[in-house]
Order: sequence, then C-alpha cells, then structure tokens
Amino acid sequence: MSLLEVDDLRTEFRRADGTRMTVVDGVSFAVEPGRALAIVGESGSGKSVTVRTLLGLLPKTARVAGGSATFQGKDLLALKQRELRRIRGRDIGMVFQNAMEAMNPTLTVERQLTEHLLWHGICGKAEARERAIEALAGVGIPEPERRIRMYPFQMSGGMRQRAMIAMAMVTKPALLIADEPTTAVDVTIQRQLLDLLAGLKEQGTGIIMITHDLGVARYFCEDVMVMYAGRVMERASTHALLDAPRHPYSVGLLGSSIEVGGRDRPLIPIPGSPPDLARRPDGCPFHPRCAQAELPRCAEPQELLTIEGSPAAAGDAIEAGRVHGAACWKAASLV
Amino acid sequence: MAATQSSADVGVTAAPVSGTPAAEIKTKGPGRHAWDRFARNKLALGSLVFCVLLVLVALLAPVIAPFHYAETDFANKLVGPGVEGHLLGTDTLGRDNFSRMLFGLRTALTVAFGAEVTALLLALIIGLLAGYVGGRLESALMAGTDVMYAFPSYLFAVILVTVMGRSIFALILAIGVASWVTQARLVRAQVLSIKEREYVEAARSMGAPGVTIAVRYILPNAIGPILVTTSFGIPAAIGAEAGLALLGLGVDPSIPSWGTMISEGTRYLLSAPHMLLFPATMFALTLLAFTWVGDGLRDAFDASGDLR
Repeated sequence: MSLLEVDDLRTEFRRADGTRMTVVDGVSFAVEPGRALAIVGESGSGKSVTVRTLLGLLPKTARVAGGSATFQGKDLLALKQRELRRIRGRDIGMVFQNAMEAMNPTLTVERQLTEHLLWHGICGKAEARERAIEALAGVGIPEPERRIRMYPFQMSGGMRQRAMIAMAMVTKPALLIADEPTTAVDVTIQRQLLDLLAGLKEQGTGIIMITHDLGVARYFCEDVMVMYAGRVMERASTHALLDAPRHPYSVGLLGSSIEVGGRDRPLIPIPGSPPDLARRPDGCPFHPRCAQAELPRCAEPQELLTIEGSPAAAGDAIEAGRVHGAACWKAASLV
Repeated sequence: MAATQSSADVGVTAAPVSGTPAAEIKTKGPGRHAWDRFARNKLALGSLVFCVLLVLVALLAPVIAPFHYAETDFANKLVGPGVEGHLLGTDTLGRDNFSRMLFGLRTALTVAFGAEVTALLLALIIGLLAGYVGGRLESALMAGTDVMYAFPSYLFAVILVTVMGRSIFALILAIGVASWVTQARLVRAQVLSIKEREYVEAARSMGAPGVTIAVRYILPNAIGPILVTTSFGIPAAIGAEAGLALLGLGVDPSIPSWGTMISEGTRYLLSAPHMLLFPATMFALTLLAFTWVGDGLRDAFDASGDLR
C-alpha cells in the first residue's frame, strides 16, 4: 500500500471580489515508502498549494473543495485541525526553501530542534536534546553539542539548511515534504543536501520534493509529476518522463531548461504565459500555448492516459508512477 | 547524460564542512546583540545611567530627603538655596524644595512607568488578538481602537481623573488608557507582518499549538519596535502627568509633583526664581534622558546597518 494516496484533490481560493478560483484541480498521485516524487512546474502551477493542502497549512482564503488524501489509513483532508496538528511535524516533516527565513531568529537551534518533540510528547527534554544533537551530527554538522546552543543567524547558510533538515528529521517522519530545498543554496551544498535526503529515503522515508530544477529531479527522484495551472500534465518514472516526455507541455518545459552536461542545443522557450486561473481555458489548460493543439478536441476535458492511449484504467499504477501517463489525447501519437 | 541514480549510489555520507573553530563560537542571543549596539551609542548609554540614577533616587527618596515633603518651616518661607539646610530653598509654606523635588520625581516615575506598563499590556493583548486571530474579532477590536483613537486622549484623561479622583492610581489609568491605542495598532501591524514569515509557517508545519506560535514565534520577533514606542511613551507620560498637574488635575496637592511645583514657581518667577528654575531644569533633563534612551533603543533594535 502506498504511504500517501492523493485522489482528485481540489483546492479553491476566494478572491477579493468573491469569485472562486480553483488552484489545485483534480490532482492525484501516490508516494511510496523509500521513494521520492518530484513535483515540477512553473511558479503558480499549484505545486506548493498541493502540499500545503495536505498539511492543512492553507491561508484563510483557501479551502479544500474535494478529493481525499489517505496517509497511514487516515484521510488528511477529513481530519480536524487539532488532529492534523498531531500528524504535522511528527509523521510528516517539512523542509522549507529558505533556511534563512524558516528558522526563528529569537530561539536557539536547540529549542527549534526539540520543541516539536515536546509538543508531540514523543520524549522528555533530556532525550529530546540528545536526539537533537544526534540529528545535527547526522546531517554532518561538526561539534553539534556546541552548535546546538547557537542562534540561527550565527550559522552559515549551508549549515542552517542542514539544521532545518535535522529539524524535520528529528521526529523520524514517515513522509518528508521538501519545498524547493535546494533553490536557495549553492551547488556544492545542494549535492550534500540531496545526499542527506537520500539517506532518509534509504531508511524508508517517502519524500515529496517540489522543485523546478529538473536536474535535481533527475538526480534524486524516482518519479516525476508535471503540473500546469493546477492540473497534472504528466506523471511517470523520472527517466521515462525526462528522456521521453509525452505531454507537449513537458516537452516544452524540458526544452526550455538548462541541464549541466546536457547536449549542446538551443533553449526553446514556451511561447505565451500561464493562464489566469480564474479564466482557465476549457479542456487542456495548456492548449492556447501548445503548438500541437487541435481544436475542438483540446478544448474538451482531458484524462490522464497511458502512452498506449488507453484511458486511466491503470490509474493506481499511474499514481504510483510505474506507468507513464499524460493528460493529452495526442500523447500516444507524439514523439 | 546520467540516468536517475538510485539512492544506493548517492549514499548517506555528507562531507563535514569546516566551519568556525570551536573556540570562536560564542552564544550571543539577539538580545545581547541589541545591547551591544545600544552600548556603542555613548549618548544613549549616558542617558541610561542618568535614568537609572533617577530611579534609584526616587526609590531612596525617603532616605535622601533632608526634610519631610510636607514639613513646613514658616520662619524660612521662599528662601533661596542654601539657607538653613534648605539645599534648593523653600516654597511659600516653607517646605523644602529639594525634598519635594525628590518626592515629585517619585510621583512622576510611578505614574510614567505605571501608565506605560498598563498601555503596553493593553496593547499587547488587543494587538496580538486582533493580528493573530483575525476575522470578526479583529474587526471588532480594531473598530474599538479606532473609536479610542478618535477620542482626544487628554480629554479622556481629564474625564477619568474627574470621575475617579486625583489619586496616583487614577492618573496611571488615565494616562495608560489614553496612550495604548497607537501601540495596539503597532502591535497588530507587527503581528500581521511576522505572521506571514516562513518560520511561523515552519512552526505550524511542525505542529506548534496556536498559543505557542503567538507567544514564542511572533511576539519575540515583534517586540523591538514595541519596546521602542514604550520607551518613548515614558517621557510622554511624565509630560502628561505634569500637564495634568498644571491644569489642576494632577495628583492630590498634598503629594509633591513636578507639574504642581512648576506651575507654582511661575507665580514667583521674579521674587523667588529658584522655585521654577530647579524643578523645570530637572523636568527637562529627565525628559531628554528618557528620550535619548528611546533613541538608543530604536537604533539598537534596527539591525539593518549591522553586519551580522
């Protein structure tokens, strides 16, 4: 059974003028223990909102409009805030993009590494401290006994980012959500961070990594899900998707991104810009920008199809990332 | 091009990064940093020393004062400094000016600190509730604050003192309640901006209870500007106390107050200038010192010009 199964998730935002805007629209995926799923897409594609919906961290103007998210037998979306709070930080950890910003400047590292152990009643103060030191050592911070007494601003950026991972790891969560953990750090630290996360993965932690760095996805994640305008465009194992993308949007995304050591080729930008989510195009949201678009077929609702062209009967398999699925009726005939 | 690496290839080991040598690691909290910045400002530091002295003198007034503040010496009415042990002369009833100034300082500081603590508590509670909880509670609280804001604060103090009588407690309440409004707005604004910071979301993502977030994550990071406003509120409250005294609405006339002394002194400006000169000078120096401390605090909490 999957660690987390998200089915047909929908999240709406209420705008100032009272209209509703669907930011996450029918997203389904699954995360397996010991595997990492990359969620990639442009800014505003709904990646972050998707994971924040799961954790109940949405702003007040947002609400869950439908779907389910089964984690360890419980539907996260049906839980009360209080019950969800007990899962957050204990069973599901989260690593943020900007360690500079994601640690409280007025608390010592020790406090920030141990507080959630105490909130969740996992252990007492003395053991929490030991665990925190162990976690800091585990992320390769030298002299953890001394550094644990530091304030975040006394640490370097890379050290802080690792301390943040230690913060999420200290409770040994079953699922770790990493929201662009490598975006704000330089490449040498990027590699170290990914290696750390890989260690967690080996111990059986399931990981969701939000990123727009396809290189990171290729290096670290077994499965990839491409999102656009709040919908899943394509979902497959990493090498299948990155080596042979099926959806025209994925093709465009790959064509417009740089990969170090990649073949010498011109970058091809995707023309146009992502749609206003309040006026999402009918059918495939990408079709107004798509060179392959054929109306009226593309303006009709698109299902996630396997590359053989059969409808998502193999839904579960697609969700687990084992079968290549693309939300484009032409996907089978492209490439 | 490399295919997806399995996690086995990646390995767990992260090379330890050489950082600061152990001997150089010092644990200086943010408060300590603010103090270091404050201490670098000599004017603020000097003012702080002066203010601390004032507080000590006020506390020790009964010990220091050579006379009781109500003791009359009818043989020596309105005499100048130095006559018969009256260090700074006497007033119209022959009461010792120096002793009365010491007790006047006591009144001023009691009212000022009392009023500011009252204002700070009110502002923190209302500002935190409004900013953190939001929704209808926020609308209601801020509407109430706006009503208070629109009401002239001096008039409010006058009404309260008239109703409650001229006790020190009434003055504390009058000045405190009249001055919390701007602070409550500041607290709310601070809370609103800090609520959106990533570390607050991080705390939520770790399952922090709401009260913990408000008290441990938002408040300490919001407190700097609030303390600065409070420190500027102290000289303002001292001024307000004296002002009310000038209007005849200060503390009971039997209790010495600088405002009462100054207003009396103006009537004897030509015949006994010492009656105005000494209280007015001390009043000015005290306000100045507290204001400079506030200035120093403002710079100390503003870390923008500081290399961290």
